[in-house]
Amino acid sequence: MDKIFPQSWGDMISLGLMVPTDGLSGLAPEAGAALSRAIELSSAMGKSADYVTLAVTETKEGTTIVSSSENALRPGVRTLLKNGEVAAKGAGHAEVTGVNAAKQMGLTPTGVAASRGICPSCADFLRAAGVAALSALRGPWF
Amino acid sequence: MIGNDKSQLSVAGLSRKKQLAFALLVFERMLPSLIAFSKDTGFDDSCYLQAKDAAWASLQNGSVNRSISEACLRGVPDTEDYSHALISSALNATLAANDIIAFTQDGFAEHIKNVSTLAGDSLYLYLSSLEDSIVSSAEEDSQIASHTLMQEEYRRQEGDIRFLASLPEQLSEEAILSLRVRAETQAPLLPLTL
Repeated sequence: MDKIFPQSWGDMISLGLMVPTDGLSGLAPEAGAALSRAIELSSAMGKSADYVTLAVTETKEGTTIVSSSENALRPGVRTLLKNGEVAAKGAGHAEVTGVNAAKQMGLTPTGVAASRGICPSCADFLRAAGVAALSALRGPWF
Repeated sequence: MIGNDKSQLSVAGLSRKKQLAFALLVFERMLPSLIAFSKDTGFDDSCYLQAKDAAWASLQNGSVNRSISEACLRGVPDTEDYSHALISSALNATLAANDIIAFTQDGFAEHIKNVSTLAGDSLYLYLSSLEDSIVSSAEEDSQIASHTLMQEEYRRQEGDIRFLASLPEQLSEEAILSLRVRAETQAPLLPLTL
Protein backbone atom coordinates (compact mmCIF):
# COMPACT_ATOMS: atom_id res chain seq x y z
CA MET A 1 0.00 0.00 0.00
CA ASP A 2 2.93 2.33 0.69
CA LYS A 3 3.78 2.28 -2.98
CA ILE A 4 0.78 4.35 -3.98
CA PHE A 5 1.70 7.20 -1.67
CA PRO A 6 3.80 10.14 -2.86
CA GLN A 7 7.49 9.25 -2.68
CA SER A 8 9.00 12.71 -2.56
CA TRP A 9 8.36 16.37 -1.97
CA GLY A 10 7.80 16.74 -5.69
CA ASP A 11 4.96 14.20 -5.51
CA MET A 12 3.52 15.92 -2.47
CA ILE A 13 3.54 19.29 -4.15
CA SER A 14 2.14 18.13 -7.46
CA LEU A 15 -0.54 15.96 -5.89
CA GLY A 16 -1.39 18.40 -3.14
CA LEU A 17 -1.78 21.45 -5.36
CA MET A 18 -3.75 19.83 -8.15
CA VAL A 19 -7.24 20.91 -9.07
CA PRO A 20 -9.85 18.14 -8.94
CA THR A 21 -11.14 17.17 -12.35
CA ASP A 22 -14.87 17.50 -13.08
CA GLY A 23 -16.91 14.67 -11.67
CA LEU A 24 -13.95 12.97 -9.99
CA SER A 25 -16.08 11.89 -7.05
CA GLY A 26 -18.36 9.96 -9.38
CA LEU A 27 -15.59 7.95 -11.03
CA ALA A 28 -15.75 4.18 -11.34
CA PRO A 29 -13.43 2.11 -9.08
CA GLU A 30 -11.01 1.51 -11.98
CA ALA A 31 -10.27 5.24 -11.98
CA GLY A 32 -8.57 4.91 -8.60
CA ALA A 33 -6.85 1.74 -9.79
CA ALA A 34 -5.36 3.52 -12.80
CA LEU A 35 -4.03 6.35 -10.63
CA SER A 36 -2.63 3.89 -8.07
CA ARG A 37 -0.90 1.99 -10.87
CA ALA A 38 0.56 5.19 -12.35
CA ILE A 39 2.01 6.21 -9.00
CA GLU A 40 3.19 2.67 -8.23
CA LEU A 41 5.08 2.47 -11.55
CA SER A 42 6.42 5.98 -11.09
CA SER A 43 7.93 5.03 -7.76
CA ALA A 44 10.30 2.69 -9.66
CA MET A 45 11.97 5.70 -11.27
CA GLY A 46 13.71 7.07 -8.20
CA LYS A 47 14.40 10.80 -8.28
CA SER A 48 13.51 11.05 -11.96
CA ALA A 49 9.87 10.49 -10.97
CA ASP A 50 9.78 14.14 -9.90
CA TYR A 51 10.54 15.25 -13.44
CA VAL A 52 8.83 12.61 -15.59
CA THR A 53 5.10 11.88 -15.88
CA LEU A 54 3.78 8.35 -16.32
CA ALA A 55 0.29 7.85 -17.72
CA VAL A 56 -1.95 4.79 -17.50
CA THR A 57 -4.53 4.68 -20.29
CA GLU A 58 -7.47 2.33 -19.87
CA THR A 59 -9.16 0.98 -23.00
CA LYS A 60 -12.57 -0.46 -23.74
CA GLU A 61 -10.91 -3.68 -24.88
CA GLY A 62 -9.19 -4.17 -21.52
CA THR A 63 -5.59 -3.53 -22.57
CA THR A 64 -3.81 -0.91 -20.50
CA ILE A 65 -1.33 1.44 -22.16
CA VAL A 66 1.52 2.80 -20.03
CA SER A 67 3.36 5.83 -21.40
CA SER A 68 5.77 8.50 -20.31
CA SER A 69 6.73 12.13 -20.89
CA GLU A 70 10.00 10.66 -22.21
CA ASN A 71 10.24 8.85 -25.52
CA ALA A 72 9.88 5.45 -23.82
CA LEU A 73 9.46 3.91 -20.39
CA ARG A 74 12.68 3.50 -18.43
CA PRO A 75 13.94 -0.09 -17.98
CA GLY A 76 13.08 -0.02 -14.26
CA VAL A 77 9.44 0.64 -15.14
CA ARG A 78 9.36 -1.75 -18.09
CA THR A 79 10.28 -4.67 -15.86
CA LEU A 80 7.26 -4.00 -13.62
CA LEU A 81 4.65 -4.22 -16.37
CA LYS A 82 2.17 -7.09 -16.11
CA ASN A 83 0.27 -9.08 -18.71
CA GLY A 84 -2.23 -6.79 -20.39
CA GLU A 85 -0.07 -3.70 -19.91
CA VAL A 86 1.67 -2.32 -23.00
CA ALA A 87 4.62 0.13 -22.96
CA ALA A 88 3.92 2.92 -25.45
CA LYS A 89 6.64 4.99 -27.09
CA GLY A 90 6.65 8.50 -28.49
CA ALA A 91 7.79 12.03 -27.77
CA GLY A 92 5.59 14.50 -25.91
CA HIS A 93 3.38 14.42 -22.87
CA ALA A 94 2.55 11.00 -21.44
CA GLU A 95 -1.23 11.38 -21.64
CA VAL A 96 -1.20 12.23 -25.35
CA THR A 97 1.30 9.48 -26.15
CA GLY A 98 -0.87 6.92 -24.35
CA VAL A 99 -4.10 7.87 -26.09
CA ASN A 100 -2.45 8.08 -29.52
CA ALA A 101 -0.75 4.70 -29.05
CA ALA A 102 -4.04 3.10 -28.04
CA LYS A 103 -5.74 4.44 -31.16
CA GLN A 104 -2.85 3.35 -33.39
CA MET A 105 -3.21 -0.13 -31.94
CA GLY A 106 -6.88 -0.15 -32.88
CA LEU A 107 -7.99 0.18 -29.26
CA THR A 108 -10.56 2.53 -27.75
CA PRO A 109 -9.10 4.68 -24.97
CA THR A 110 -11.63 5.42 -22.23
CA GLY A 111 -9.64 7.11 -19.47
CA VAL A 112 -6.19 8.29 -18.47
CA ALA A 113 -4.58 8.66 -15.05
CA ALA A 114 -1.19 10.31 -14.59
CA SER A 115 1.45 10.12 -11.90
CA ARG A 116 1.58 13.92 -11.76
CA GLY A 117 -1.14 16.49 -12.35
CA ILE A 118 -2.56 16.49 -15.87
CA CYS A 119 -1.55 19.78 -17.51
CA PRO A 120 -4.14 22.11 -19.09
CA SER A 121 -3.16 21.25 -22.68
CA CYS A 122 -3.43 17.51 -21.99
CA ALA A 123 -6.77 18.08 -20.26
CA ASP A 124 -8.00 19.88 -23.39
CA PHE A 125 -6.68 17.05 -25.55
CA LEU A 126 -8.46 14.42 -23.46
CA ARG A 127 -11.69 16.40 -23.48
CA ALA A 128 -11.57 16.75 -27.26
CA ALA A 129 -10.81 13.04 -27.65
CA GLY A 130 -13.70 12.06 -25.37
CA VAL A 131 -11.33 10.34 -22.96
CA ALA A 132 -11.89 10.76 -19.20
CA ALA A 133 -9.24 12.25 -16.95
CA LEU A 134 -8.92 9.65 -14.18
CA SER A 135 -6.63 11.75 -12.02
CA ALA A 136 -6.55 15.37 -10.94
CA LEU A 137 -5.74 18.24 -13.22
CA ARG A 138 -2.92 20.68 -12.67
CA GLY A 139 -3.79 24.36 -12.55
CA PRO A 140 -2.61 26.65 -15.37
CA TRP A 141 -0.38 28.51 -12.90
CA PHE A 142 2.16 25.63 -12.77
CA MET B 1 27.51 -4.06 -16.78
CA ILE B 2 25.34 -1.08 -15.87
CA GLY B 3 23.17 -1.93 -12.92
CA ASN B 4 24.67 -5.40 -12.86
CA ASP B 5 25.06 -6.70 -9.30
CA LYS B 6 28.51 -8.07 -10.02
CA SER B 7 29.79 -4.68 -11.16
CA GLN B 8 28.12 -2.93 -8.26
CA LEU B 9 29.87 -5.27 -5.86
CA SER B 10 33.15 -4.33 -7.48
CA VAL B 11 32.38 -0.63 -7.15
CA ALA B 12 31.33 -1.19 -3.56
CA GLY B 13 34.70 -2.82 -2.94
CA LEU B 14 36.51 0.41 -3.79
CA SER B 15 37.35 3.08 -1.23
CA ARG B 16 34.94 5.99 -0.84
CA LYS B 17 37.16 8.33 -2.87
CA LYS B 18 37.55 5.77 -5.64
CA GLN B 19 33.78 5.30 -5.73
CA LEU B 20 33.45 9.05 -6.13
CA ALA B 21 36.03 8.97 -8.92
CA PHE B 22 34.06 6.18 -10.64
CA ALA B 23 30.89 8.27 -10.53
CA LEU B 24 32.79 11.29 -11.86
CA LEU B 25 34.13 9.29 -14.80
CA VAL B 26 30.60 8.15 -15.68
CA PHE B 27 29.22 11.66 -15.17
CA GLU B 28 31.90 13.17 -17.42
CA ARG B 29 30.62 10.89 -20.21
CA MET B 30 27.05 12.10 -19.59
CA LEU B 31 28.01 15.78 -19.47
CA PRO B 32 28.36 16.48 -23.23
CA SER B 33 24.64 15.75 -23.67
CA LEU B 34 23.76 18.25 -20.94
CA ILE B 35 26.06 20.88 -22.46
CA ALA B 36 24.58 20.35 -25.94
CA PHE B 37 21.05 20.50 -24.49
CA SER B 38 21.92 23.74 -22.66
CA LYS B 39 23.35 25.35 -25.77
CA ASP B 40 20.25 24.50 -27.78
CA THR B 41 17.63 25.41 -25.18
CA GLY B 42 19.23 28.08 -23.02
CA PHE B 43 19.03 25.83 -19.98
CA ASP B 44 21.47 27.03 -17.30
CA ASP B 45 23.95 24.21 -16.65
CA SER B 46 26.47 26.36 -14.73
CA CYS B 47 25.79 24.88 -11.29
CA TYR B 48 26.37 21.34 -12.64
CA LEU B 49 29.72 22.37 -14.09
CA GLN B 50 30.63 23.98 -10.78
CA ALA B 51 29.45 20.86 -8.94
CA LYS B 52 31.64 18.70 -11.16
CA ASP B 53 34.72 20.83 -10.41
CA ALA B 54 33.90 20.83 -6.70
CA ALA B 55 33.49 17.04 -6.71
CA TRP B 56 36.85 16.60 -8.41
CA ALA B 57 38.36 18.93 -5.81
CA SER B 58 36.79 16.86 -3.05
CA LEU B 59 38.99 13.95 -4.15
CA GLN B 60 41.73 16.11 -2.60
CA ASN B 61 39.75 16.87 0.55
CA GLY B 62 37.72 19.76 -0.78
CA SER B 63 33.97 19.88 -0.24
CA VAL B 64 30.96 20.87 -2.32
CA ASN B 65 29.61 24.26 -1.32
CA ARG B 66 26.04 24.13 0.00
CA SER B 67 24.88 26.91 -2.33
CA ILE B 68 26.01 24.86 -5.35
CA SER B 69 24.15 21.79 -4.16
CA GLU B 70 20.99 23.80 -3.50
CA ALA B 71 21.16 25.42 -6.95
CA CYS B 72 21.68 22.03 -8.59
CA LEU B 73 18.65 20.59 -6.82
CA ARG B 74 16.47 23.52 -7.87
CA GLY B 75 17.64 23.53 -11.48
CA VAL B 76 16.74 20.00 -12.65
CA PRO B 77 14.89 20.17 -16.01
CA ASP B 78 11.38 18.75 -16.25
CA THR B 79 10.61 16.49 -19.22
CA GLU B 80 7.26 18.22 -19.73
CA ASP B 81 8.94 21.57 -20.26
CA TYR B 82 11.19 20.59 -23.18
CA SER B 83 10.70 18.79 -26.47
CA HIS B 84 14.44 18.57 -27.21
CA ALA B 85 15.76 15.12 -28.16
CA LEU B 86 18.35 15.31 -25.37
CA ILE B 87 15.96 16.19 -22.53
CA SER B 88 16.16 12.74 -20.88
CA SER B 89 19.95 12.68 -21.13
CA ALA B 90 20.12 16.20 -19.71
CA LEU B 91 17.75 15.26 -16.89
CA ASN B 92 19.82 12.18 -16.09
CA ALA B 93 23.06 14.17 -16.07
CA THR B 94 21.61 16.70 -13.63
CA LEU B 95 20.28 13.92 -11.40
CA ALA B 96 23.69 12.21 -11.55
CA ALA B 97 25.34 15.47 -10.48
CA ASN B 98 22.95 15.66 -7.54
CA ASP B 99 23.76 12.06 -6.58
CA ILE B 100 27.48 12.84 -6.73
CA ILE B 101 27.03 15.89 -4.52
CA ALA B 102 24.95 13.84 -2.10
CA PHE B 103 27.66 11.16 -2.04
CA THR B 104 30.29 13.73 -1.06
CA GLN B 105 28.04 14.64 1.85
CA ASP B 106 26.71 11.29 3.11
CA GLY B 107 28.88 8.62 1.45
CA PHE B 108 25.92 6.33 0.69
CA ALA B 109 26.88 3.81 -2.02
CA GLU B 110 23.36 3.96 -3.44
CA HIS B 111 24.24 7.31 -5.06
CA ILE B 112 27.01 5.64 -7.05
CA LYS B 113 24.64 2.93 -8.24
CA ASN B 114 22.15 5.65 -9.22
CA VAL B 115 24.76 7.38 -11.41
CA SER B 116 25.46 4.11 -13.21
CA THR B 117 21.73 3.42 -13.64
CA LEU B 118 21.07 6.95 -14.94
CA ALA B 119 23.80 6.51 -17.57
CA GLY B 120 22.18 3.21 -18.59
CA ASP B 121 18.75 4.85 -18.75
CA SER B 122 20.11 7.61 -21.01
CA LEU B 123 21.52 5.04 -23.39
CA TYR B 124 18.36 2.92 -23.28
CA LEU B 125 16.12 5.91 -24.05
CA TYR B 126 18.39 7.09 -26.84
CA LEU B 127 18.61 3.65 -28.46
CA SER B 128 14.89 3.14 -28.02
CA SER B 129 14.26 6.38 -29.90
CA LEU B 130 16.11 4.96 -32.91
CA GLU B 131 13.57 2.15 -33.22
CA ASP B 132 10.55 3.07 -35.31
CA SER B 133 7.84 1.43 -33.24
CA ILE B 134 4.95 2.68 -31.14
CA VAL B 135 5.40 0.12 -28.37
CA SER B 136 8.41 -1.34 -26.59
CA SER B 137 8.92 -5.07 -26.74
CA ALA B 138 11.14 -7.75 -25.24
CA GLU B 139 12.76 -8.17 -28.65
CA GLU B 140 13.58 -4.46 -28.83
CA ASP B 141 14.96 -4.53 -25.27
CA SER B 142 17.19 -7.41 -26.26
CA GLN B 143 18.47 -5.49 -29.29
CA ILE B 144 19.18 -2.45 -27.12
CA ALA B 145 21.04 -4.54 -24.53
CA SER B 146 23.30 -5.97 -27.21
CA HIS B 147 23.77 -2.68 -29.10
CA THR B 148 27.38 -1.57 -29.58
CA LEU B 149 26.91 1.62 -27.56
CA MET B 150 25.41 -0.24 -24.61
CA GLN B 151 28.09 -2.92 -24.69
CA GLU B 152 30.76 -0.23 -24.93
CA GLU B 153 29.43 1.51 -21.83
CA TYR B 154 29.37 -1.82 -19.92
CA ARG B 155 33.02 -2.30 -20.86
CA ARG B 156 33.96 1.26 -19.97
CA GLN B 157 32.41 1.02 -16.51
CA GLU B 158 34.18 -2.27 -15.90
CA GLY B 159 37.40 -0.74 -17.22
CA ASP B 160 36.97 2.24 -14.89
CA ILE B 161 36.59 -0.09 -11.93
CA ARG B 162 39.71 -2.04 -12.88
CA PHE B 163 41.66 1.19 -13.41
CA LEU B 164 40.59 2.57 -10.04
CA ALA B 165 41.36 -0.70 -8.28
CA SER B 166 44.91 -0.49 -9.67
CA LEU B 167 45.51 2.95 -8.15
CA PRO B 168 47.00 3.32 -4.65
CA GLU B 169 44.43 3.60 -1.86
CA GLN B 170 45.53 7.14 -1.02
CA LEU B 171 44.83 9.01 -4.24
CA SER B 172 47.96 11.05 -4.87
CA GLU B 173 48.02 14.17 -7.05
CA GLU B 174 49.55 12.03 -9.77
CA ALA B 175 46.71 9.49 -9.52
CA ILE B 176 44.10 12.24 -9.66
CA LEU B 177 45.83 13.73 -12.67
CA SER B 178 45.68 10.35 -14.41
CA LEU B 179 41.96 10.21 -13.62
CA ARG B 180 41.43 13.70 -15.05
CA VAL B 181 43.25 12.69 -18.23
CA ARG B 182 41.11 9.53 -18.44
CA ALA B 183 37.96 11.64 -18.00
CA GLU B 184 38.97 14.19 -20.60
CA THR B 185 39.99 11.72 -23.28
CA GLN B 186 36.96 9.41 -23.14
CA ALA B 187 34.17 9.49 -25.71
CA PRO B 188 30.77 10.84 -24.68
CA LEU B 189 28.01 8.44 -23.64
CA LEU B 190 25.82 9.37 -26.61
CA PRO B 191 26.81 10.39 -30.12
CA LEU B 192 25.99 14.08 -30.29
CA THR B 193 24.59 14.13 -33.80
CA LEU B 194 20.96 13.95 -32.73
